[in-house]
Amino acid sequence: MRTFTQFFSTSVGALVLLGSLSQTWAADGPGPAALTFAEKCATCHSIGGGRKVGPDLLGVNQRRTQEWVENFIKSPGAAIDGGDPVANQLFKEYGIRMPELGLNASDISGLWAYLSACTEKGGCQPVSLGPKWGTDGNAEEIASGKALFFGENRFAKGGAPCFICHNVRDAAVMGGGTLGPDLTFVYARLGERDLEPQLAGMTTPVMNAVYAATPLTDTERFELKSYFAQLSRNGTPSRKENNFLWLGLEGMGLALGGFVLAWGRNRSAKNNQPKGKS
Amino acid sequence: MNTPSISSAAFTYLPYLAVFGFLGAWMYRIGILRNNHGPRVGGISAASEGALVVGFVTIFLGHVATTLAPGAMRALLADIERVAVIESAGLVGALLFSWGIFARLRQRWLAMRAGVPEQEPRIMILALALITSFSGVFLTISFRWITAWYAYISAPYVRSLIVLEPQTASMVASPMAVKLHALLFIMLLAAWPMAGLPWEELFPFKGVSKRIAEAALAAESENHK
Repeated sequence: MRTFTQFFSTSVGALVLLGSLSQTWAADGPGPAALTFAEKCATCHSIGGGRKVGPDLLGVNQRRTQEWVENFIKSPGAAIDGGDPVANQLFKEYGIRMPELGLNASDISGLWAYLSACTEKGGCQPVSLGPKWGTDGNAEEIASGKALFFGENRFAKGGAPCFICHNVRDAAVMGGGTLGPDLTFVYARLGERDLEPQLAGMTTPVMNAVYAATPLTDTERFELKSYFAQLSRNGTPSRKENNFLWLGLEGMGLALGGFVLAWGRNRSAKNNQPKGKS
Repeated sequence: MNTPSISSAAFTYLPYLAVFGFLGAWMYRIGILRNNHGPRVGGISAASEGALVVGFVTIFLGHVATTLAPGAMRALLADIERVAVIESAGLVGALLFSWGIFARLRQRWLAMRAGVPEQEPRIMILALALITSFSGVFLTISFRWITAWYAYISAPYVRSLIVLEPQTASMVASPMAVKLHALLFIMLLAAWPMAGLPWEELFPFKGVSKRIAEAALAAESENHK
């Protein structure tokens, strides 16, 4: 009797949840959790659509506990580095670290409810997000974005290439610039909704000063976002910066050593000009 | 109404005040003081003179070429590996220049301790030059890629000063270390003629050329033997 009551109440609860979700979608478009999933998760995960960069999340609420899923979404890096066996198994299996998404507790519990509801339905298509997003970029567009970032392709209006001030994981041995923040996970951090206006309006004071006269075109913005989205799919951070000072000191040592070898250690004559008053 | 910030006002007017200060002090030095360089002090080592020349040329060429031809410099800097090479060369140049300035400063300090008069203003100016040079080294190490930053942010500002239409927004938005480096240079420019330091003190080109000529002659006579 008790089992039947539990089953009945769970089923009613799930139906109410599904009903309220479909009602919300019908009336006001997709709910915040569906948008969050489409924006932050859909580039790597499907719900019933099969494995992508990360696992298919259909049935994740049955495979894992809510606490585990919420903790993992909150900080995948902490779970992996903290020795969580499931997180490490996933890391091993998929070969990349899930990036930190910067979601708050309310977003994460909303996602759990959304994943549970979608599992009950047998799967969900990511909701449409309007104009093309960075996550929609194909391989060619991603490559163009990378070329723009590293200055191999010039911006149409002559703007500075991004690597001058920003680093990403793909940067060469010496790394990208450190004047601005590392952009490896900018797409995961800001999402399309916050990144697009930043690129379009160059809202920070420095970006505004650099790009005021040389704004990016729509295509350039899209290609850059595609590249950033691609970088965000892998949670591996950028390499640690190389210490530039040692390189400089070695160069200086070599130059001074060369001067000593060529000219010896003798001193110059008195350094004042004879025409000056003594 | 947009109220101009202190930073904006400083970067608008201070460079011109520095140029006027420089010209005034220079005329006073040449016209009134008859370009008196004060008592002589000991020289510095050949290596330190070499460091001064190579360092000065590297820094001067880097800054001036970028200001005069920013387009060409930006084309050159549009590749991360080229930027790394240019920045490394700039860092070595700045370190060599700092080494040379430090050697000069040390000589002046020792002379003052030995009782040679009129050393204080020269020590102050050399110390200011050393601090300016160190701030450049700090920028290069702490903020990559400062060479490209100069090409895109600072060079347009310097060019706007030259055409008397100062555009300070980019400088005002720059990190504090960049602003400080620029202000230190402005101070150095204004104060340089006050010290009465001979040009050779900063750029001992004659001394280094003489050494190169002597080395060439010695090599030639060695070949004749």
